[in-house]
Amino acid sequence: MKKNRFGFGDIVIYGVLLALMLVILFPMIYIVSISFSDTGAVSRGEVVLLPVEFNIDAYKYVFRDARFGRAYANSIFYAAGSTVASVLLTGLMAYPLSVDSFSGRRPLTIVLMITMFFGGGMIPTYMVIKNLGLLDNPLVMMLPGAVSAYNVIIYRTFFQNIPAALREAAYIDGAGHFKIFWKVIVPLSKPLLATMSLFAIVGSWNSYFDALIYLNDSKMQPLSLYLRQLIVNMDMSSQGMRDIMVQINVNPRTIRAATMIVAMLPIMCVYPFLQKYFASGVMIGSVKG
Amino acid sequence: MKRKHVKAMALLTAGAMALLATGCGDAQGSESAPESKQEETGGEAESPEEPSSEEEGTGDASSEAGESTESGDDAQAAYTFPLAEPLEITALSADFGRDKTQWADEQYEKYTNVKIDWTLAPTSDVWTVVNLKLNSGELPDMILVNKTLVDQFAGEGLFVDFMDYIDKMPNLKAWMEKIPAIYYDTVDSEGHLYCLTNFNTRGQAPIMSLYRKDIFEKENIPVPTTIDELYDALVTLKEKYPDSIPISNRWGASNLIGVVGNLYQCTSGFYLDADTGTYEYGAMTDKFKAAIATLQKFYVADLIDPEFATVSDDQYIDRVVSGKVFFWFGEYTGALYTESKGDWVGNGKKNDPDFEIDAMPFVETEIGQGQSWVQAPTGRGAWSTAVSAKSEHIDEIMALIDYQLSQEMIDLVNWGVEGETYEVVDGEKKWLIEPEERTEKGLDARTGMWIPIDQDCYDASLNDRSKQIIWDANDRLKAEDFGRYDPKMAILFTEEEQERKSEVMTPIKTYMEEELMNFITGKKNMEGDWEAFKQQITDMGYEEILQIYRDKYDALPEDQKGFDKELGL
Repeated sequence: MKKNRFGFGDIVIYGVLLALMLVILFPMIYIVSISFSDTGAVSRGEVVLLPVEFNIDAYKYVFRDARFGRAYANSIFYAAGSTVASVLLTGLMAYPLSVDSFSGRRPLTIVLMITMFFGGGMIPTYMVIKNLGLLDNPLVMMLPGAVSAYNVIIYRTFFQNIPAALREAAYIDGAGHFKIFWKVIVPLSKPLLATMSLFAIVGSWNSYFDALIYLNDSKMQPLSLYLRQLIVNMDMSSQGMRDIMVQINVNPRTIRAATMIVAMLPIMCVYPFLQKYFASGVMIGSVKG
Repeated sequence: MKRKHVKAMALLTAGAMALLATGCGDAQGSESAPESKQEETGGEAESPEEPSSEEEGTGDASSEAGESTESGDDAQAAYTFPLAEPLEITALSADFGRDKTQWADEQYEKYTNVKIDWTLAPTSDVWTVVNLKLNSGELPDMILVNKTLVDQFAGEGLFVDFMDYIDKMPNLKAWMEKIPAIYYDTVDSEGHLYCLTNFNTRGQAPIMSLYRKDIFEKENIPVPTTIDELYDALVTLKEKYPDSIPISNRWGASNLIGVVGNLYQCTSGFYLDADTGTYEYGAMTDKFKAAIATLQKFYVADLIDPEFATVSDDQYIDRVVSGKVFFWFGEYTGALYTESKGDWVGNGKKNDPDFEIDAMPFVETEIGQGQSWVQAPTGRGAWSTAVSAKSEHIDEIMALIDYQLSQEMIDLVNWGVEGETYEVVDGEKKWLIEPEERTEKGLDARTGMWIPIDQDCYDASLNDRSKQIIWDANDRLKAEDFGRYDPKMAILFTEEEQERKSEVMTPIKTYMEEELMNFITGKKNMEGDWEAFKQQITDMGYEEILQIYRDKYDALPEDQKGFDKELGL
């Protein structure tokens, strides 16, 4: 009994984990099945686990909708842009703060900290964005949120954990600060950069509010906003718009499902490749080395 | 299938605003109008004058220009369209899934020589955007608003008063003459009209009593005319079909209570009572008690879905199309017969070839004829257009809005161009293009910014059978035998009164919701426990608020009391 390593406790653990996995997996499979089913069958409640009357009409509809394609392209563009901007600018901000000999460290950190606790609020921010000429400008999706004080602190802590001796050695060999940053710090910070990039990509992929208030032109809308429209518009029962919902009589569940699947794909593709960094990356800043 | 969906989307865009405009009230019609913070509306508000003279530039265009363009001679449009000089203005509205510049916009520009630079906010979040614009003071020339926002911001002088321009707006005058609510819905206590409510060319009865015709016929049960006959019929059916759920419900318990309350000529909240001629609080009335007693009787006999308070939309439709439901106290008819894949009867027939749902007259109750909520032509100010006082083109915009109300333009933005997108057969307009193309062209009355929405245009997208049911209902409505109408004027509260109201009524509402469930499910006794229930609500102080309602109602001028029965039919 004792030799058998797979004891009762393990059965319980695996059982619980299996159940947990099913609980997590089922909604996914359900959504996938719905997206491949016939609308009529969905409305008759016949879809439980596997697709009924398999077809790809919903996907055809999704891909044919010009707005969807446009929104998709926009989202990829915004995600890429904001990730580059975020990683680059935050890194450049954090590096000097990690150098002990930099005399402006303290005041700069204080200024940074202030932004963590005080914000201007929506309308003043809107006015600032407007006066900067960023309204209806794709840059508004990349620049305003690029440097967050919290991220700067994480970067700085990570940089500080890189032995100063490396920096000094490079310096003695004749490297300037930029060269040290690019050739020493950045290569040593790959886990950090991977993790923070992932955060930035996911954050940008999911955010809709900035787009909502700063982008007036529907041609610039990101996918998240499009999705939100699709799903919220169709689900108006809570907003006293019942008759619309009834009378338009869409059974949009297949299309909603297909859109969600397609929208999820990029993130699902990125995750596995960044996951190994992610696992170590979330610990960044928590352990002093 | 994709086409079907696009069709449905087209319906969304074409019909959504129509419905939005008029359907924002609860189905139960409880307390009717949006509650705005405003001074008492006792101030005498001038009623709009007689319709006015034929407007130049609009008369010739449409062969069937309705009464709305005919006018007297005391008002004269200031501009003729198309304008001599091109004009560009900005406007903010909800997008309803459409693009910025479409065929309809090009036609609009051709007719008016006005180019509108739209900002289209996603419909789901449009009020966030509108709020932001109002707060930052960065208004476009024309902006989508609602009455509550207008009350809040009008004091800052953001909006133009339509009444200042009424003499130059013959079409608006004519429409106000036809549907007075266009004026009364958004006028403030000093007679200012800072926004123009969205409206449809006519109102309608969107909710009907429905029954499974095939089942009733198969079992030889005549269509019930009274609540007792209905009870007996459903009990018989339940015996024969033990798996059935004769009555289901969606949108929560309040929906069922609301519909049955209406059947008993009342609602659960404050409402204007036709019999007493003043405001009543539903829970205190005998009518409401009778309604709850009926629900209990039906529930205890297993005729009502045990999950009636929690059934989701999807579950509900599953129950309907799988043939478990036999009767609806009141339900929207638009989904019954459509060409889309979601139609109830079509899907029902897949399970049972005889599946048939039909509308029936509302049953008679102990109180009298059963009633149902009626959708007025106007949106009660919940979706309105305002003009920025800072605009450089106010005169032109006012003229444009008036021109927009002419038959010529109503046809253009709803139907498009005759011979190209629609034709007239025997005086009735018919689409020449598929719904898909309508959406692409943008023929949806610009989702409410180009008012009014032509109800016929929306109905033309419905299946003949659905249309028949709706028209039958509206014909019956003319006889006024089952319509429950909104009051002519909403009771408006000042900010303090509003606060006091929610302070008193919120706990009462919570208590009531809980207790009503106990009564309906039979956990509490109608005879023994109802008095205690009423006593508790009295102790919680509802009377104070009811008194405010009554005082304000009494203070209304005589012509603003009573119900708004004008459906513009």
